[in-house]
Amino acid sequence: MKTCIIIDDSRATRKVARLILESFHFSCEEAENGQIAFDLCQRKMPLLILLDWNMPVMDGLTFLKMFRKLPNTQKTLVIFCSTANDVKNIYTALNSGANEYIMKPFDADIIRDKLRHLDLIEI
Amino acid sequence: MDDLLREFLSETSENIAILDVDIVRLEKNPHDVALISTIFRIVHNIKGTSSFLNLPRLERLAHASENILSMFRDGELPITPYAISLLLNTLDHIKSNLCYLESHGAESKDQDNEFIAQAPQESSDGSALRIAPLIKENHPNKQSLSTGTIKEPLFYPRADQSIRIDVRLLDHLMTTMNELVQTRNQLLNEMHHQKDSSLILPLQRLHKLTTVLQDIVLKTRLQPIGKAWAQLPRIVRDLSKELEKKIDLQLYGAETELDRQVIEHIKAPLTHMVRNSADHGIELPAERIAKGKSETGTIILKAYQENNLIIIEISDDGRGLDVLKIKSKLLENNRVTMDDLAMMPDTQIIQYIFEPGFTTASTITAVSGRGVGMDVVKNNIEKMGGQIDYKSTEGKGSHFLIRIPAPVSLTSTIKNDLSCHDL
Repeated sequence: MKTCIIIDDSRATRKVARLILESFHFSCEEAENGQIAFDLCQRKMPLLILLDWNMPVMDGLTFLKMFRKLPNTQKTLVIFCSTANDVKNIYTALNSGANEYIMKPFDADIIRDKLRHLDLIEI
Repeated sequence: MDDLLREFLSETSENIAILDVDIVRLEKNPHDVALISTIFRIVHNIKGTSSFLNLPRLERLAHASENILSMFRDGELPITPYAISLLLNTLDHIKSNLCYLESHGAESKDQDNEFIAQAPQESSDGSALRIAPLIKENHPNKQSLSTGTIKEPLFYPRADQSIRIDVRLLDHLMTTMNELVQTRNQLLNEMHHQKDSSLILPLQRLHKLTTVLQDIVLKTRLQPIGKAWAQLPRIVRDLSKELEKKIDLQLYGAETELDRQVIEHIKAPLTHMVRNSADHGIELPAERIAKGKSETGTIILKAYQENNLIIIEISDDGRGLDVLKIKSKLLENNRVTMDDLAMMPDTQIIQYIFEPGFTTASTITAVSGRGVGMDVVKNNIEKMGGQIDYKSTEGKGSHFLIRIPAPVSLTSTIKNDLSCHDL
């Protein structure tokens, strides 16, 4: 089964993302900040990461930089989630190892497009 | 979708509670950049999740708060009491919208236009300075305001591994647990008469396991008392503004744990008593200076465990209870005669403040003086098996002491009973 880690400090947002990704047959784990996600990745590398920017403890960019320094991360695809407030961060994120970005709020159609683009799903 | 809305409501209510405390703290520490970022992140979170759930009203309100905060952050708007009030007002609107959402399952159709117009908007050129003249017009230089502060950060341990459980399920678990304990006790009693050796070992084991299980069940229900007083800094802040007093609220021991039901029941009494302290106890700044006290009055709330008791102390350095005033009020209402009073020591007279309908407030303010008060406080505390005592030194402040039995399982008493049975 395709695995995904959803990193966001909002439970409600994680739930939205989980419902969508599960509909595309991903098995999801959740992390409320970058540190927790980093620990999860060290135990088991996921296929996909959905990454929020602004979080307590460890933010998305710090996570991304540390994550890409780990061995065996080249197969893992990172989708960075941006809000209108931090559009300028998209460029930074893509330069720091993100594969794609989406704007919040996202829905199933937006996610499907990106997953297709990343060759993670067919149709 | 319902499930998602529930998640949203619980998450956002938690966030709002944190914001209430943090924003009041920001007023006291306007240069705390990290605090502004934290507040900003939480508000941003509310905006983001509202947009996910397609709740435009909440999204707009959160956006309005975000505008104020980004102006704070960029130094475009000074953090004045008025600006903080504006922010808190927006928060209150979010709260009432959440209540509506919770009871109706959808947002109200009314518009907050009038309200949002008050909050700063980004103008077309991206600058957001419109707020500045607005503030000057409405509140010229009224900045000498004091507010409640938190000396100790309210700390709620946030375990990485936790799940949310319906409270009714926990209550059910508790009642079932109690029945199990009773059944076990019955069995133990029977055994005491029969002395059937083959059952002694498994029964001993059942006894121990039940005891452990009961302790665990009790622990699932514990919550930090900080949850019962999280709203107090905001209340004291608003009160000090309304009453034109300077009040410093200090909270100690927020992590002290109590059963969730006790937390629910203690909330109203604590709020009431802190309001009383602010309204009746703490004097106006001028009066305090005249008495040789510091201009700012202090209200202290302390919680801690002592043996099998949870102790909560509420004290202030205000004027204390005015025994003469209580006496004259009692005479006025024909509760006692002059002869009665002559016989009573002050400590007994003070007990009358716990009687229904008693108030010494000469005018009824929005804060207190309605005569619903200390009797209710006393009743509530006694219902939990606790007691409340008062000691006051006139002119130097008042001091209430609440004692509540600490959350211990029935088993600890049963254990003692059984130890002599030598199972």
